[in-house]
Amino acid sequence: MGIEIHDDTLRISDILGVEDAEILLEWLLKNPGGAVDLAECTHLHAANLQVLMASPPRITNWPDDALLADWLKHALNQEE
Amino acid sequence: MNPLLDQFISESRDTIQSIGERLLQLENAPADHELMNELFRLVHTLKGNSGLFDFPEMTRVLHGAEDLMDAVRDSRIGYSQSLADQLLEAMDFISALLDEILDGGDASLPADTERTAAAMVLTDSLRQLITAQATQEDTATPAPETLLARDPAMASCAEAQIPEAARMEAYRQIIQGQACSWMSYQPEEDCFFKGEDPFYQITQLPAPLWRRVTAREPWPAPETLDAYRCLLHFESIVPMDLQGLTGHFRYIPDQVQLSSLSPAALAIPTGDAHDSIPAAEYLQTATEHLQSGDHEGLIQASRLLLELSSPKLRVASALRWLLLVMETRPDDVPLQQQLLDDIRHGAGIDTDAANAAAPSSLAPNMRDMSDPIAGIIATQAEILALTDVPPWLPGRLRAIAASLRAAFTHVGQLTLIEGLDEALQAALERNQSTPLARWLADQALPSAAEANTVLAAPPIAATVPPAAPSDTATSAGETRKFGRRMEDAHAGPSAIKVDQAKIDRLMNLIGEMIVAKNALPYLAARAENVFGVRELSREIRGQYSTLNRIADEMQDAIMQVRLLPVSFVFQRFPRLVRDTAHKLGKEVRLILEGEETEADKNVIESLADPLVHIIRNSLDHGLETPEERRAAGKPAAGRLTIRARSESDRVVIEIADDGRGIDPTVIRRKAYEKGIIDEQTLERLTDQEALNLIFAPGFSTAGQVSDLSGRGVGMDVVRTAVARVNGSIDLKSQPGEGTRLRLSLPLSMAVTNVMVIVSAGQRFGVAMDAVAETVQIAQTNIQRIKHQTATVLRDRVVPLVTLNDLLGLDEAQVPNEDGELAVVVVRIENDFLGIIVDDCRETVDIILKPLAGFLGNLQGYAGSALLGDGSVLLVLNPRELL
Repeated sequence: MGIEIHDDTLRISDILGVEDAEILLEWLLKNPGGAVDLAECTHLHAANLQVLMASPPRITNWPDDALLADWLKHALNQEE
Repeated sequence: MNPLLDQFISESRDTIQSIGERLLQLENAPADHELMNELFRLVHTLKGNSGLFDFPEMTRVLHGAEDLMDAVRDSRIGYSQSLADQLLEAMDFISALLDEILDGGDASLPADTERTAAAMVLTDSLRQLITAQATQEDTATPAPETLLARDPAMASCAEAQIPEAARMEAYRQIIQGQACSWMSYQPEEDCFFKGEDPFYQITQLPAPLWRRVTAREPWPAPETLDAYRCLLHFESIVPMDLQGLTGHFRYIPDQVQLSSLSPAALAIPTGDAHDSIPAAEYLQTATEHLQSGDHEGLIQASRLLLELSSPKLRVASALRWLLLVMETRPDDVPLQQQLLDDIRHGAGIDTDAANAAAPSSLAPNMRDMSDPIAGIIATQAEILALTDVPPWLPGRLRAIAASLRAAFTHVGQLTLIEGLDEALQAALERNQSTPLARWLADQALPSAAEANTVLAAPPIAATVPPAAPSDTATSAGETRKFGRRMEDAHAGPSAIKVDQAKIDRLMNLIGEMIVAKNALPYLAARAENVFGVRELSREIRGQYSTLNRIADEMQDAIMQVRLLPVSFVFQRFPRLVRDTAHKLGKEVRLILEGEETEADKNVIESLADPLVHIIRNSLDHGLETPEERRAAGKPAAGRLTIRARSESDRVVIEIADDGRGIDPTVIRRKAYEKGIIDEQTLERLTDQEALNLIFAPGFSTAGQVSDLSGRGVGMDVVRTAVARVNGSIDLKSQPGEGTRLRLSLPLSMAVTNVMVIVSAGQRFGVAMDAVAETVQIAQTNIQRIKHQTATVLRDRVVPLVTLNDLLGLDEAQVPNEDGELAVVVVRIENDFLGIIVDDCRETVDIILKPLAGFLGNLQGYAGSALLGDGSVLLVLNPRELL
């Protein structure tokens, strides 16, 4: 579960819990140009969603889960 | 139904009853603080208990009641009649819920829109009492307008923001029979601290047709963002019916707005205004086509205009909707009319012009386009007024009837459409529109004006929460659907509380009954032997077997009453383990299993102290500190499992830990140091025997005397306590892997089965539990090893003692005619011992009474019992005798 950092990309896998929101926010603040890879993310807690919405990063991969990806794309105003 | 729920229901009923009583007492003494505190406490308890289960409605209402009582208790608001009424009403609601739960027999209630709504209304009115009274005592009639503002009008505003494509998709779904609902969910700001995950709630719903996530205020700069203050606002169209959606959000009904979508509500044209479109002409043709039922013509005309208009215009949107409606529901004339009206509005053509275009003589107020329903009804009247008889007249009549039904249903005037079907039938038979027209004139036209007012009130069923909770505070007396009074339903409580002394008395009486019953065989024997009446003897025996059966059942029944689940003792362990572990700086995970296992009250109660001691030992000596555990490659948190289960007529309780285990060599050395065993024994002992040494008196393994265990109260005390209730204990341990203690206890100890033995002319009893077998042994087979006699029984050496020796009687045991001695082989722990007696007799059920008074100190006896012939039987305790 959780967060993996690869240079300037944050890889999120499985479930991002409520405590992870602070880590996520901190990382986004430190890496303003950073990208987030959500491919293996199955769910993220609403607090994380807030963080992503408030400081939208570049998303390299959307979640494989179509429903989650759909919600996230709309939340981050990046729907095609 | 699980026992916890059972208990909850019966307790809640009691509490509700008490709340009612307190409220009535308060009416006589409104300033009694004691009573108010009591009342608060009761409501508080009830709320707390309800939280154990999945009854959000109940908890919600009780929470409201609790807040109210809190305000009363703090004298923020005064006690009043209406307050009592409200509270009683809330309690009736809870009562009704309890009934429902009882009927369902399940710890969860199915979601019910109506119930959720009722709970909301009740809670709102309870809360309103707080604010209303706090601000201006009694006069407050809160402005209903503010609460009514949330109505379909607002909802349709929101719907209008949804892109047309999504709305059309929803429309198609609804037409195909898939109910769709509109959802707007604004989680509370502090919801994350309540363990809620709004996004999870949302993603658990089926894929939405449209969705939007916004913030309720602009996002602050990321540096100042508080990730844990929830600002999210979710909106979506979900392909779910309102019922299902309400169920999904049943815990947070106040944070969501839900409404079910109807085709008409979705078909809202959006876009830029237009002026240069030749709409007037189109409208005239379109209206004519619509009225004459010429679908093709209407479609043609609409397509033509659509091609002419820029797709972004409002008129284009309306036309697209019109075409969609024509395609999917060609009979839905009202909706088509509504869309045409929209185009007319947009085109800036005033209603008079429209009236002029339409062959109509209706009063302007009837054609008022701001009120589509009245407009629709009026339009139907117009069409009915046509005198022509086209070939499509039956279709037209049906369309009109359908429109009227829809219109009246929409405004909630269901009673009005009663005669509609008959009128339609008559019209169809006569192939003319008069019957329908007459019906409409009779029924509807007078009420068309009313339809206006009806429309103003939102259809309650369609929106959650229902509007108008405001008036309930003032009209508290009126009965609601859920306001079933407690007295209405005479649902007698299914459980009664009984003083334990009464149960004990009943048990004693049954015990005496068993003794009296046991007298019958003696009587039968006397009848036969002394008086020589064989016939009577047989009849007495017959009676005896009947009585025996009934007495057995009675005994069984009273046992059932006395049964308690082991959770009675187990429930204190989580706290004990937590505190103890904390004190010791250890991490422990406690696992309780089989808490529902039942045993006699006395057995359960006698278990409490030994178990506490065992658990302390496990925590103190067994489990290692987190560091030690990590070093040993185990998880930092130790595991302590307490497991109870029934095994035939015994209860087995296992206490297992995954700690360091017990090292037999350490035990051997300690026991030797303390002089419990001598050097020879030290060599001879097996590992298991060494482990059993911890039960020896005066043994304590702890290196240092700790605060918790190891204060002289050793495992021998535990063993004695367990033995006192005829239980046994054994221990298994693997160094490094953990220790397992197994306690085996009788289910009940009220009636004991004993064997009667005779020695030195006296009768004694020995508990059958302890008796392994009885044998006759020829005197020649008894060997003397030093001062100890023994015999070989089934290839095993069994030491023998004579009972007379044990009891200090100076008499020899009497052999039978064949020179054999009767031997009772008893099991003491895992060893066998043969006790030589004079004779073994029958076994009897007795009620064992411990020796009391001066005899209480006497060792060697388990107690005494009264026999059927009136004599007293002393029951031996072989272990103490030795």
